[in-house]
Amino acid sequence: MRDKAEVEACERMLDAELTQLFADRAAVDLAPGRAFGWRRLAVTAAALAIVGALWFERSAGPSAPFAQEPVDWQAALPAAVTAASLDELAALPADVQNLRCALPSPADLLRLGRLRQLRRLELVAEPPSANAFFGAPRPTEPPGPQPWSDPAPSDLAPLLALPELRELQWPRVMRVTSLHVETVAPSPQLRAIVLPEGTQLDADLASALAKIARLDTLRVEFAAVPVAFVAAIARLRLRRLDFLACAGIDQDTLAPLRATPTLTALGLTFQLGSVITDAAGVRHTKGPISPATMDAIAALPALRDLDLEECDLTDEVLQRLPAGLTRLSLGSRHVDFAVATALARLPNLRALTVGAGSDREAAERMAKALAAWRLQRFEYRGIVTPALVSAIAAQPELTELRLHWFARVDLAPLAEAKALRTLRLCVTNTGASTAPDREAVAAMLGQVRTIEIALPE
Amino acid sequence: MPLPDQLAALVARSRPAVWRYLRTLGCDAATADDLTQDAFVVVLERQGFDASNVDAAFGFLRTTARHLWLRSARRSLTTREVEAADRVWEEQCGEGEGLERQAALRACIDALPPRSRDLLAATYGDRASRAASSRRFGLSEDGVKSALRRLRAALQECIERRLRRELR
Repeated sequence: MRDKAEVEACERMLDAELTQLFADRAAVDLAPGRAFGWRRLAVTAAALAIVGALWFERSAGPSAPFAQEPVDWQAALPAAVTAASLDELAALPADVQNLRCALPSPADLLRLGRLRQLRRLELVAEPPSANAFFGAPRPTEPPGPQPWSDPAPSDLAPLLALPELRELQWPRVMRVTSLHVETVAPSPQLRAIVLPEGTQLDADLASALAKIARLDTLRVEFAAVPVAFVAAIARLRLRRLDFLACAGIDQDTLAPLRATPTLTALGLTFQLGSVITDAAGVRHTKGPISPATMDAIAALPALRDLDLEECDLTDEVLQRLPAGLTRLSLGSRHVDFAVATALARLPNLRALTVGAGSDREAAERMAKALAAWRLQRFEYRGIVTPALVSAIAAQPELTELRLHWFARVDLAPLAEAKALRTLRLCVTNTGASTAPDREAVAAMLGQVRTIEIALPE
Repeated sequence: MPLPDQLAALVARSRPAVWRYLRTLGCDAATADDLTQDAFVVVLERQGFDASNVDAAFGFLRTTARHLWLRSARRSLTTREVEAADRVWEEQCGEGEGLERQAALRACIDALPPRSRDLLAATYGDRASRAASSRRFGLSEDGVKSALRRLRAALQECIERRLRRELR
């Protein structure tokens, strides 16, 4: 006689078998006998996170994207606690796990020693801004030398006293060197690091990163990225790599990453064809992403998660998106015919961010496209129409939804989206006069546990 | 590190079984996708892994997948429930990938009346909602739910009967 747990396991086993036998789309690469590229399937790894949401300042206002699919330890993290002063830091309970913290100087790192359960630490040199919609923007810091610009590596040693530390973001003013990285490399749980703007991306730094035994997530910000550096970090077992507003990202830069069989997630943001000037006065171009660059991205053997927030993408580039993606952010991209046809080539999508503007035709196009997927997370940044609401409501596995509110629309059909647990509405200026009341939305959508309605400033 | 050809063969053969195993342990479909791939990454990174021995390789993958699930923050079942599910796999599939069970399931489905097969195909293949199936099959939504519950129970019984017969 089977007990309840065994009976339920039997039912799940049969469900899985039936899914594989019958499924024609969602389980397309799970059914026996299908042809696979061994590389892509053998090495694709778990859903991984961007090191957090994009914390840096966004001129686009309240349109911060979803954080990418988190790795397990990030999924388990509570919301970040902010300590804007040393007094606030001293007042925090000792079991804080996720901390955004203003420290005037590296010497103050000693004050963190009592936080033995700290897992994620974002250091800033100045008090964080109070502005926050769906994640506080990264606070600004004053220009010029200051205690955090070039700290002695030994000043960072107190970080080693944090046994659970997994993610470390240094202050943006800090010029991170290989010596700094080597200092924190023995940290037993460290797996995610952010390299801010002034970091020297060279072979020594790559060697230092290789000494972090569990490193799997790396973000490089506002840098001109040398091919040699990418070739060096391609030997690490990275699972997620983000180049935020970096210059020099092209097919040659990305080619070495084909040798990183664990890399499942890539972020390329702010590739708009603009120019940045490095500390030596050399000008570098940031994007746009060319067809050849997209081909290089598509050639990454394990890639499933691609973030192209704030990128200038031509129709030709869109048509070359890797077909195996399960997560894609096109950021604030109008859903025109080219976008719709490009998305139609991605049958396995589970998380999507797209949309812009008040074109109702784009919303109708999006509504039609949705029927092809079983999304778990969806963010649409354009105007929402009743047809789009209905199409979203028909997504049976959707758990997280973010919409931009341009005009009044009836959300009641979303009650049919039984799996929906999180709803975020970002009210635009044009929609402010019709913004829904949170309590009314909560009463209408009983299945949703978290409702956030962000009003324009 | 296993040879590419051996690994390709292992992936082609064992990936569906690892996925089914993880679903049996209580993973949702997306988590099962992720952890299946994670398990193969572990194989890839393992020096000297012998991918030519299919049974041993699947045993390793199964153990790895279970550990990944037990460590996962997405796990919604207790350790005891996961262990119970592992026992069910062992009981139904032995040390193997459950191919005999799948063959039995196919035979059982073939023996179903066409309308029942269609309902299964609509539910698992077309992923039709209960409302859509109710319109298509002329049943109430509760009727669809009941029909599927009865079908699954009948299939489970049929599979086990066939497996017992094969063992004799």
